[in-house]
Amino acid sequence: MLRDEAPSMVLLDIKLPDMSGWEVLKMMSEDPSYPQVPVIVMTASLGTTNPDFPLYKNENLRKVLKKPVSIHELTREIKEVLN
Amino acid sequence: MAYGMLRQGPRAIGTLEYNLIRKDGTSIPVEVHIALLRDAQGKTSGFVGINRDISERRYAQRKLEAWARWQAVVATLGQRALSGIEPDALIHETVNMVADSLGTEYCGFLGLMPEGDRLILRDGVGWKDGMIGSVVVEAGKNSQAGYTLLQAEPVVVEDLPGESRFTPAAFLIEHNVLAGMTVLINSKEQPYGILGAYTSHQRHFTPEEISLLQSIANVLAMAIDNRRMLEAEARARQNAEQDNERRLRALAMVSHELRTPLTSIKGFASTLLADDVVWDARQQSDFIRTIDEEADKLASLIAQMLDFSKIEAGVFVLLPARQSPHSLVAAAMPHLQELAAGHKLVIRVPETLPDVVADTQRVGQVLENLVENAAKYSSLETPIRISARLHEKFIEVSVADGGPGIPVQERENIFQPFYRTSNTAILKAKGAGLGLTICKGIIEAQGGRIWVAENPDPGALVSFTLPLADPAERNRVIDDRFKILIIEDEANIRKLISVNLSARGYDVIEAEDCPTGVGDAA
Repeated sequence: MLRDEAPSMVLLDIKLPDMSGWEVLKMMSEDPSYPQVPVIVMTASLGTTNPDFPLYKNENLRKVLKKPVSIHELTREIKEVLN
Repeated sequence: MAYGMLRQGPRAIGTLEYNLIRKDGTSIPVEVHIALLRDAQGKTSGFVGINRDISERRYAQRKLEAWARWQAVVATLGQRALSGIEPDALIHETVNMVADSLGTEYCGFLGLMPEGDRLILRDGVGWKDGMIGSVVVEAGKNSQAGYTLLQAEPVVVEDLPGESRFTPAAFLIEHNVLAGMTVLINSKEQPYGILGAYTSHQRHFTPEEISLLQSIANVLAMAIDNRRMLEAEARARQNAEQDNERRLRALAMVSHELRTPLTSIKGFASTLLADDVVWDARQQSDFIRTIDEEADKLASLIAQMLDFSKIEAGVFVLLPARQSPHSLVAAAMPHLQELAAGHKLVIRVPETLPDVVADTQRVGQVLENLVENAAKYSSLETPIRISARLHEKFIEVSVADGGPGIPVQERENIFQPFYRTSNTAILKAKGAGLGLTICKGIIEAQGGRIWVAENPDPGALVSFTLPLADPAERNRVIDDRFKILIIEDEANIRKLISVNLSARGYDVIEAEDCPTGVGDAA
């Protein structure tokens, strides 16, 4: 989907059945054949509040939102990312 | 010889002052010392008079006298001002004192009108009947008063008809005014006006006289300033007291409102837990349903209070998006139907209306509140109508019911926080008194307004406006919609995010796992 649909951005859950969202994020940014678009990550376990946390080091990652995500917060962040 | 006689013992008989007329007709004040001259036998043989020019001294004396008199005027005026006299009465006394102490035929107080472009003769001495309160002059160079306002310093005129700095006002010409001086009555904000003394005779105004008039104007300005400040303070104090009272009442009301559902919840929970009674399944589920309902009420009350405090604090966050009024109302419909149960909900929102910029969820909240009120205050089976129309640069949405309507005297107040109606017909309704305040906050934050409209039919009619979207932006948004990929395994969360983003104009594509999301297979 990411390649064919060329979305403007991705909302990514971390706890996924086959691989973690962090891995998806890494894969995306390491493979230049993927469109490099902004990503907002949603996770129930906000590992750390430290912005230097290694997992947060990714060019495409714009925001980490704690689940449950409020629609207000989400739409606000999306708007910000897309602008 | 005279000298010799004087030496023999002249007897001064005295000093007197008189005006000596010079050859050219001018007079000078002189002091003359006169002494009799006597011969050896003591017979008066003549007199000696010494004239001394005392015009300097006389001038200084006059000045001193005038100065003392003016000081007295300023002092009296200051005292009157301190006595708490009404500004208008003080102005009246002032113009009389000015005319008296300067010996001018006319004195006038020209008050600056609120728009700041004209002055009106508010009070004065000497003017023809009917002029006070009706003569108006332009600010600026079309009157001496206006010119004084521009200059912000005293303006002295000795030949008004020949004046070139400004055009004399007609009413001064009408009174044959020849000379005059005007000073500014200034204040911290806008000047109050001009104080002027005028005469139809030739008259020279000395620097002392000019500064006297200015001092009087300053006392007047201070008195008016003080008065206004006192009035403002009194008003502020009264407002604060009312505010405080309202808050206390609100607090009492809010605690009562919170306690009511809490009492039910606690009561039915304890009832269920009682170990001396056995409730059957039907009773149990009835109690639990009550607890559930009351918990909802409590939650909505708390949500209202949070919204209210955010609005009050000015930190209310909105997510406005471009959409049609029709879809805005449609989004709220499921909940509106529920709230209007028992009534007939009539929707008249044409699909052709142009787009607005609004927060779907928040406008939905406003509609819900208005429909809920409508349902509460009108009898069952009566219709509740929601309509929308284009009005200038806004879409005007109205909610009308078939209830008793909102009395005219309450229409402003019902948007006040914690306002309680005194109308017994609708007193039975409960709530924290915040619903409409929040509606007002939501609508105003989006650039609209909300009000109780004049209703030709019986029943309440509440309208609000939402600003139209910029038509130029329309194509851009539609042609260039953002597409968002959601990768989330929980179907319900995916759906929640998806419907919300779609409603805000985004294209949404969903993936439940990584292969679908980032793989090429799908």
